[in-house]
Amino acid sequence: MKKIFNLPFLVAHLLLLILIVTVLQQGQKAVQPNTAFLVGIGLIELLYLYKLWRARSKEKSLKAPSDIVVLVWIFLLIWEITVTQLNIMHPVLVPAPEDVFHVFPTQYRTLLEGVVSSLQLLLIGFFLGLSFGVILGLPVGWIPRLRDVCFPIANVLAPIPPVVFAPYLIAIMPTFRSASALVILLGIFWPTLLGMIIRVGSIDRRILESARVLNVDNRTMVLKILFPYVLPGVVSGLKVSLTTSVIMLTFAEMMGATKGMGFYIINYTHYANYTNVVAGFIVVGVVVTFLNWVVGIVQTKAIKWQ
Amino acid sequence: MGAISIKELSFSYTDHNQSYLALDNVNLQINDGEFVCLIGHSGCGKTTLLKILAGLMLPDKGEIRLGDRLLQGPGTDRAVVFQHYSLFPWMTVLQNVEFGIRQAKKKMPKRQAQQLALKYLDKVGMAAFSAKYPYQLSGGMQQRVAIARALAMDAEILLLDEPFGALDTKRRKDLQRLLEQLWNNGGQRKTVLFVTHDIDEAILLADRIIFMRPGKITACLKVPYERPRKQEEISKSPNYEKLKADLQQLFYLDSELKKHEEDL
Repeated sequence: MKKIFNLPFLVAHLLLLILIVTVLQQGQKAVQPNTAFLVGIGLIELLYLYKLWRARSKEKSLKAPSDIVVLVWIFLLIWEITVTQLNIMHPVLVPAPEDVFHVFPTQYRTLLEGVVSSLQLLLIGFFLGLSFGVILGLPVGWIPRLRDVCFPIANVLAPIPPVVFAPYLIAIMPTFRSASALVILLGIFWPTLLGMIIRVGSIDRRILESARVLNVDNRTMVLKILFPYVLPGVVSGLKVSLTTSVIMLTFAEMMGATKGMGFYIINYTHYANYTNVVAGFIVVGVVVTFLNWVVGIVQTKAIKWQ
Repeated sequence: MGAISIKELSFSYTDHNQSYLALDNVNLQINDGEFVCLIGHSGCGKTTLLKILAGLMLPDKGEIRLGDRLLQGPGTDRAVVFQHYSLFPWMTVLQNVEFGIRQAKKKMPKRQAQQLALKYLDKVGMAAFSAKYPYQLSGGMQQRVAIARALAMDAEILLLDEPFGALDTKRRKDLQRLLEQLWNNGGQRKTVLFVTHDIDEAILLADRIIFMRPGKITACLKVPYERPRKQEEISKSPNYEKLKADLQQLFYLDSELKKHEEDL
């Protein structure tokens, strides 16, 4: 039984108390109601307590969640004191935390629409790119003649960052959405294809011999041997692929979308409304963290045989 | 049907434009249902010979006939067990055996193949582990499954490349007994080519021991004991010591020769 009420825990809650008291004070700067900010702080505290509870039952360090939350509270305290209380920061460039958090309840509809629109594009591009990469990569990696032709071509095309295609693709594709899906698709496809070709080419000779002495035909080879063999590689690369597609997505959205997370941020940057821009950062951060969490679960559940 | 006839077989590896003759004009006749152990030092070409028989490599010269068919590549008329990694790590024990059966008998329905797989897993004492993945099994258990798969495929010829080489003495003895038992009692005896460098193993299992020295077959010894064999009984029989001494001398002579070459 480990102690939860250790020193970092007490420090974290002392800081939390100071933060709440400070937020409740009337500051030098006129800001939006502090309700949303306090709710935000409450949510962080809840998440922290949940993590502590999980760490207690899982033999993990109890200190790490406390240390992290201490840093968060210190950051929020500095932000609150310098902007709202003392008003010593740039009035436009550094928005008050109350104002930033107030964006969520007032603009949640726009934000949510943006997130949904972005996620649709992201998932379409991500899954299509991944599927094409794997489906084409397996036979190309396996059949020497295909590999000798495709590998050099892929090596030339893959390093061109798909973001440089983006403006052109937006110009030639019928809709913006199809263009940005295509940008994400390309960003995922080439690295996946190259990875597949290399992985199939370097397959463990003993596995290959075991398969060959069982006289497997090409179809069985690809479906029953090569595909399961490369799958762990695909799964372990999911996080990198996801990060790549988020970069592609936000970039494409900044080029010419009319909705989505990237559009939200670039749009308010044009109006110098940095309160909304910072709120947009937070939304992107939360969404990407959530996606990574989902991918993490998939990774631990997907491969049972290792 | 399971007879193997090897005529004037040569094979060389090429590495960095240097070619190395691994098999030099090898001739060997193995009868249907015969258990042959191929013995020799590492690098003498015994694994190369087995791989050519498995169809993994094509000979440079010479021909191999299985029964009256010319060997032209891999086929499910031969079942192979390697020292490591014969099983596919992403398939369960049952799926591994079933996959082998369905490769050998494409028309067999899935359910029937599963039942057959279970039957053979039971024979090697692995039926209780049929839902496990290979990484959850010990080396000895994996080899039991590999043997079950090879037998379940009902190939005429079994090719075994040091299948017990990585096991400890106790497990090795258990599996040697199991293999002999299954081979002996399985109705139609299969032709077995068993590569090893363990003299006791060869004497225990083989009808005939073939000794190889780099690239060539240099000796051929008949092992006359009745089956089923027991290590204790064999070691008491009068000509056991002579047979073992002969084999040891072959090994010894070989290392002497090598040493001599190094000295030169």
